[in-house]
Amino acid sequence: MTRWGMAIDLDRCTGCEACVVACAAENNIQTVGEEQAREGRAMHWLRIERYYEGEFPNVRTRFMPVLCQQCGAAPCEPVCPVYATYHNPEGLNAMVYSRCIGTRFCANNCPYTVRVFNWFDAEFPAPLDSQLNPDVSVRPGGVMEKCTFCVQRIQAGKDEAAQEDREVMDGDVKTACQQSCPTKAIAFGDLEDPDSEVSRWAESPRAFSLLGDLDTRPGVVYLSGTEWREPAE
Amino acid sequence: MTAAERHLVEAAFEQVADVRAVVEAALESGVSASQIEVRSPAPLEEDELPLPKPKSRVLLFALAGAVFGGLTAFGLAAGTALAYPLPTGGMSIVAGPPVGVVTYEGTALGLILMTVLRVLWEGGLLPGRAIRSGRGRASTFDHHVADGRLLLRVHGLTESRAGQVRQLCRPRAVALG
Amino acid sequence: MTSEAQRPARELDGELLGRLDRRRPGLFVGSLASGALVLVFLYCWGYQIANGIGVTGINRPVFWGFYIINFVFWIGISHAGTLISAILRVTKAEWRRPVTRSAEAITLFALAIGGLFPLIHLGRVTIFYYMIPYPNSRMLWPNFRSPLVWDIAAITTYIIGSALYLFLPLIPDAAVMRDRAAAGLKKRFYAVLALGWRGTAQQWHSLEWGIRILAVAIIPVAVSVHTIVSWDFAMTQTPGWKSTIFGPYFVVGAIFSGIAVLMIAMALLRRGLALERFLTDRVFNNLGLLFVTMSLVWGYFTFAEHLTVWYSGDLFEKNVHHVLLHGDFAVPFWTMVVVNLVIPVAVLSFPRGRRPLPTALVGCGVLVGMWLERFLIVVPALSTPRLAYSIGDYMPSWVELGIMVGAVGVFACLYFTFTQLLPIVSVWEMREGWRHAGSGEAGGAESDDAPTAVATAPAPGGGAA
Repeated sequence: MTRWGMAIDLDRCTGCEACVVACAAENNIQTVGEEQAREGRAMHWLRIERYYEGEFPNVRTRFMPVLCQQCGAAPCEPVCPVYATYHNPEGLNAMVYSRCIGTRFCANNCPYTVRVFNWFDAEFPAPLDSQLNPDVSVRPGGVMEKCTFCVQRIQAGKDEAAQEDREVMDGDVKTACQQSCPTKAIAFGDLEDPDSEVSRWAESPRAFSLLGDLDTRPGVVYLSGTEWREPAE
Repeated sequence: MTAAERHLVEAAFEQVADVRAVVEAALESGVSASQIEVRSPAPLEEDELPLPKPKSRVLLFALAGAVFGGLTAFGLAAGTALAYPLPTGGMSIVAGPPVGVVTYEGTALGLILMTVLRVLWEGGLLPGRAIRSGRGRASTFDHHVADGRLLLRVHGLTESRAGQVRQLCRPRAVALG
Repeated sequence: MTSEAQRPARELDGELLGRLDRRRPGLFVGSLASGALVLVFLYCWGYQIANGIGVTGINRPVFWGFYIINFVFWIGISHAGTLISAILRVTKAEWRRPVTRSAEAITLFALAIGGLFPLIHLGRVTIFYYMIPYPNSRMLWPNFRSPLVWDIAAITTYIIGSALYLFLPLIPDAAVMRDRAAAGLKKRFYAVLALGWRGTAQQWHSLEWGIRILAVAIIPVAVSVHTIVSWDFAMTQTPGWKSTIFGPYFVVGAIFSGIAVLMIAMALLRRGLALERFLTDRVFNNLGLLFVTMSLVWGYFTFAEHLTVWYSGDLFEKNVHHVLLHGDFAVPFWTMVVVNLVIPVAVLSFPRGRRPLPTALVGCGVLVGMWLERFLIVVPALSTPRLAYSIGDYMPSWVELGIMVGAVGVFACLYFTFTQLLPIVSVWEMREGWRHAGSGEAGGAESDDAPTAVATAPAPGGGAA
């Protein structure tokens, strides 16, 4: 059985946000504009959180890419009244857009605040409409969405492997953020396969889970050489 | 019942004591309790009139409704989850507390609905069971009840017996017909 | 049963019926004025459906805003009637008689509005029925693990239950209206409502059984409804929400705000319909005592809730606690404490404070305070998420404000209309009370309450306006 997972090496992350752009392009994420973004309605599925440490002039900036953690025990799932978000057999928190009625309960129960909501119907004024990804649906207004681990790429990888009559191998599936990372800070693959890159990273002594105390069993593992304090103040 | 026995005496009274006196006298004179109907603007105490106490099975039906409602809700919550076992990521498909909550509400709903239905049924208040003749039928004297008086109706009397009952009512009644 | 004892009851009876027969232009004007607000409500909701839920001020991370606050607020108010009237009926408190009907009507209308708010709140209201279990070709069912589905079960039960609990004791009064109305449309309207009620011994017997059972059954339902509303919050992991005492805390708050509305409505009814002889000072005194008790219990729960959070030192919980007590939300928080605890205790502790005007004014304050309480539960917890990067802010839009004000109009419109059409004081229950008092059956334990009915009957020619 597959358990899709991701590992992010924070020591390699430069905070360049190439992953954020790649994610938006790959997944047909709505661009809401300045005004809406100021109201807190930017729709990024993946964001780079910036935290500053130390007193001037000895300030150090730390970057942390935060996306849906694809939790094994996801707080968002049981609260949805209509099963619009559910657990797929490969460990993904799947979103069924056509089922979502927009109670936004899932987003309130997400400790990572990674769910985003379509406040209005999506608009892709020309020429943006020509760059839409045909493999990803455009979401209507009033539904919740979030990182899917590029499920369309997972599907394509599985299709390709099936055509060549073989199992999916490590490296067959690359997420958009992983592909675009210039410092190769992101690994993606099957956590159940002990030889996969992501599994090897997850074994690292530097590995930790974000808000691990909550025991949400995330599918995303972070790596950091210095002790990571929960950035809450 | 022959045509001769279809006389009806209606009388309105101010006081329960008056009604009781008339009813007692009527029973003594040979009128049967089943012929007597008293309409009141508020419920009377059980022993205020020397008439058989009405029976009610509302409680029984309420409990049956509760059982039925509870089972339905349980079936809905537990049964559907089993019939369509969606992937839950390792969590139980039928979880106890949620099924308990839904069953609790279903029990209450079944109880409430059956209670009301049974009350309406026993009182002849359901649309299909509207009373068209005899006891419980609309009367031209009903406005007396609305104004806070008691209405005594004695059914199925012969003409002479009706005259007797009228005589009994006359000294105390506010209106007589 | 002496005729002296019967005499005041007869007079009171006539007076009560006279009150009900009189036309009240004020009520009609009230209906029209609040009807205008109904249009505001409908326009704002229609605007939101046409343009998308984004016309509100909610955002990330404050995904829930005014609609959920108002949902909890109105469901809370709905606890005025059914719960209070049921408790008074079960405990056979004689002074309940003039109160129950007006209280039960508050419940039904507040619940109808409260039940609308979660729908208004949905991103896609046109497919709200996905939450209801119904057979469908995709073989998908609602997720019974979600507290929102529990909400649907509980609120459906409660609204049906309280509608029937209002309707059942109304049947004999509808018959009174029917038999007193001249033939015509009016008479036919009441005839439909009365369902052929004649007041026979069997009908009374069955009705009493029915009311007795409903009164007992509706109490646990009412408690469960607000407990489940609280679980919408308490079942989450969100700091500031996950709390074991939210269930009872919400139930207490609901009864508290329910009594507040009841106090206001009764003071208005008493004055507007000149019901001084029925809604007596004694009734206000008793309800005022209940009111101040609930205020103290609410204060105790609030203290317990915040003390445990503060003492625990949990980082995320303390962040929420901090913005509440000392930060951005300090002004509404301390306002809430003043109007919900300080003022009610200061005023209602004294017999003079438990008269109609002061209790109604305290009630207005408590309504504001209880609305703030719900605001302070929903917004600060959401705007202070665990990952500090997402800390947010919330400001309602004109659409949310319009719907909130419009909802008050919907409530007022329904209540005014109900008061015009049907007896707002239960006629048959008052008559039953007078009979008890007149025949001396109310002696013993109830002798204290009995004067409500008869002893307050004024001297001839006094006070009826």
